[in-house]
Parts: sequence; structure tokens; C-alpha cells
Amino acid sequence: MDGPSFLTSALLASFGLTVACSSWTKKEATDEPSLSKSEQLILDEYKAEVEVGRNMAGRLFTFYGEYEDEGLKSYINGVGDYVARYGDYPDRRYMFGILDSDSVNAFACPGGYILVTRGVLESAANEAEIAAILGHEAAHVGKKHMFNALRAMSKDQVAQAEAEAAARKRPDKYSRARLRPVGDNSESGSAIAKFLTTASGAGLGILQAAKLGMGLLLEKGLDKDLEFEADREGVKYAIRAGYDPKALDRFLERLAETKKKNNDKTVMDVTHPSIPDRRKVIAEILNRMGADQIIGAVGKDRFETARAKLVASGKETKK
Amino acid sequence: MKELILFGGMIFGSQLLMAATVESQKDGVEVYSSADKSSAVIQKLKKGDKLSAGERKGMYWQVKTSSGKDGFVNMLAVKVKPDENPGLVDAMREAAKKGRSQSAADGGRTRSAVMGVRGLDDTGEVGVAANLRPNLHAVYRMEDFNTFPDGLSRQGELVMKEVEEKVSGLK
Repeated sequence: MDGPSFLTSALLASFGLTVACSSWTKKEATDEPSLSKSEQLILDEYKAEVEVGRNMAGRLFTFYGEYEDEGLKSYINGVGDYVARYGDYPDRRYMFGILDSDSVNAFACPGGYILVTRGVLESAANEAEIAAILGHEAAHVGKKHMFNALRAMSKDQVAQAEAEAAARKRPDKYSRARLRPVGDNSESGSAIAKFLTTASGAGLGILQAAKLGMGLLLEKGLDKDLEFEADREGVKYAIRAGYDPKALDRFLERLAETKKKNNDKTVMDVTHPSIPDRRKVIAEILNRMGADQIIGAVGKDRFETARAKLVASGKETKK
Repeated sequence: MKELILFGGMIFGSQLLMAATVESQKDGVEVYSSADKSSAVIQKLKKGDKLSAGERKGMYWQVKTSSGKDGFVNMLAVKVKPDENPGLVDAMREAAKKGRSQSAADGGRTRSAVMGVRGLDDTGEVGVAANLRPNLHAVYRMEDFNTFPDGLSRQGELVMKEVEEKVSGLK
């Protein structure tokens, strides 16, 4: 076995793919002749990620609503894509959207769907803070935190999560959204689902995985260490891209003050480690990268211009 | 070979580092032995010379010199280019497009079913979110939104211009 082949095999093993999926990979390999074997593997798994992430992002849009401001969306995509290119996974695809919610939060779904709330854009002071927040989410995507968390679920965890979800009743205000998605019975759907074999060996359907993912995104959260890792990476990517290194720390510091003042509790409080703990982790990476010596861009004017419509519409969070 | 380069990038400096190249912007750019301009100069670069980038340290990029030594170059003297693979990203974009649900595209619903969650406390009703019908139209709009390469380089120029102005303001 030569070097590259060995590494490709190692890559396969690290992804924890089942034997079953390899036949599909082989079949698909002929579809993209310009790609190497390892690239084809990334692409095949990406197809599964997209199906799950698309369903999750779609549910977030239904739940929170979409904030439609093409100029602001274009700006967020520009900053997000730029900072993500300075991450460890520039070959991934990153897409950015805005949720119509006052709550301060951002979500990363498999496949590269990154959603920030209007609340984040109202609370941020400048482009550097947004860059670090998007960098945090890009790290979740690049490192496949959510996708891998779903695959790591045990049979019991899957069963428990499904029972909890089934027991929920929708308030009347969601009646317009009561139609549940139809199952994906297509050939590609079943092939993709093979990538979603959990640690216990149980297969997860796309919609099943998306629903479990929503539980992680909005209720349980990812493992704390993964959030700390995303904080470290987000800061790192933003520094590499040329931004003020302390931007994320300042954003979190201000957020903690606001939360204390208003005594509010949001999804982020439930799904993320405490802000003091996050700031400790950020302090470590700042120290390691010599942040005190770094002069970075802040982009305040660019940010204010981009969110002018949002501010003018009177939606800016009362501070 | 690509895998070997990737593997090489992973062990650079004993930690996972950015897959990127730094390109000297002028003749005489100095590569220092540490992230400090008073340290020893271990190599001088010509305009256009390229080195593998490691991590940022202060106002420097860690690099691997042509003789295999670790060094540091001032971030304002070089241009950093992430080692991208546009072919793979394009293939991902096409694959996502092919996999779209036709029934959702024909569904005709073009706006979110729930028009915004008001108030800061959104913890009470999140449990229902998993059971809602996904607004795939909004997701497809995200997918169709492209950031073109010239847009990315313009963003980079704006950021670096601001840094340069700040640094020259300090001198």
C-alpha cells in the first residue's frame, strides 16, 4: 500500500464510514473525474451533510423567520467567507443567512449553513466581532462538530431524543408551519443515509438526523469542549484574517453585562458554556498568539454602513 | 501527493496549522528567527518568493524557509493566500443543487411560516422547532448566494489597508 493510499484509508477510517457507503462512493467516483479519491470522499460525505444541514437550517428559518436585507446578507457573506478562508478548512463551503430574532445567537448546521440572528448584528460593535463570531461557526462546520455528534449518538440516546420530540405539542401560533416534511425515499436519500451510521451501528435517516440535530442546536448543545474549540478557532481565524484579536472577548464581555442587567436567559445560555469560562479559553489562545502585539482591523465604518437599514428600521436592541 | 502535503501541514510546528502560502511583496523582506525584528535574520526574500505559512504570532507569520527552518516574516510585508481548491468547492455547489427537493421547489411557499420570534427569551418554545416544516426556499437562497473571488480579495484589501494605516499612525 503506497503512502497516499494509506492516508486515504486512514482518512476513511477516521470518518468512521461504514463498509456499505464505500460502494456508493465508488459508484459516484465516476461522476467527478476531475477530483482525486480523497476529494471525492469529501464530496460524497458533503452530500449527506447537505441533506441534514439543509433540513436543520430550513427549520431554523421556519422557527425564527428570515431577516431579509439583501445588502446586510451580502455583507455577512463577504465577511464570513473571507474569515472562513483563513480557517483550517478553506476547501469547505460556507453559506451565511440572518434569522429574524432578537435573541443573540448563531448556529452552524452540517454542510456549511451558518445562521446569525438579527440580535447578534444589533449587539455587535464592529466587523471584527462579527468576523470572530462567524469564525467560531465556520470552525463548527469545518470540524464537523454537529455531524460527528449525530454519528456518535448511541441507540438509547436516539430513542430518548425521539421520544422527547414526539411528546411535544405545538403552540397554536405555529399552526401555519404544522406540515411536517415528507420522508426522503429517493435512491440518493437512502444512499446518503448510509453515511449516517451511528457509533452503535444504527442507521439514521436524513430527517431523523435533522430533528436530532435541532435538539442539539436549540436545547442540549454540543459538548462544552467543542464550543471551547470553536472559540479558540474562531479567534485564530479572525487574527489570521487581520482582525482585532480581542474582538470576540469584547463582544462576550458586553453580552455578559447586558444579560446581567436585563436578567435574561436565551438559547445560547442553555447550549453554550458560561461566558466567564469561554473568556478564559479565549485568553489562553490570545496569549499563545501574542495578541498584545497585534494591531488588527476593526471595520467599524464598514459594519455601520452595512447595518444602517437594520438600525434605521428601529429594531436595534434597547441597551 | 496532496495527502502528503496535507500531512506535512499537520505536523508543521507540531500543531495543526493553516494551509496557506505567504508571498513576499518586495525585495529584501527579512525572515527572522523569532517573532521579533531584533532577532537574527535567517533569510532574505525577493519579491514574489513564496513560503509555507504556519501560524500568526504577534504581527508576524510563522513560515518554513527554503532550507526547512522555522522563521517569521512581518505580516505587512507579505500577502497570505489560503491553499484553496476551487474545483472541490464548485463540485460541492453543484452536488447541493442537484440534490434539491423538487417538491419543495414547487411548493410555492416563499416566506417563513413564523414571522420572527420576538423578545429575548426564546427558550420556552424551541422544542417545537424540530417538528416544523423546513423553509427550504430560504435555504436555497443561501445556497444561491455566491461570494466571488474578487469580492474576497477586496475584503482582504480593506482589512489590510486598515491595519497598515493603524501601524503607520503609530510610527
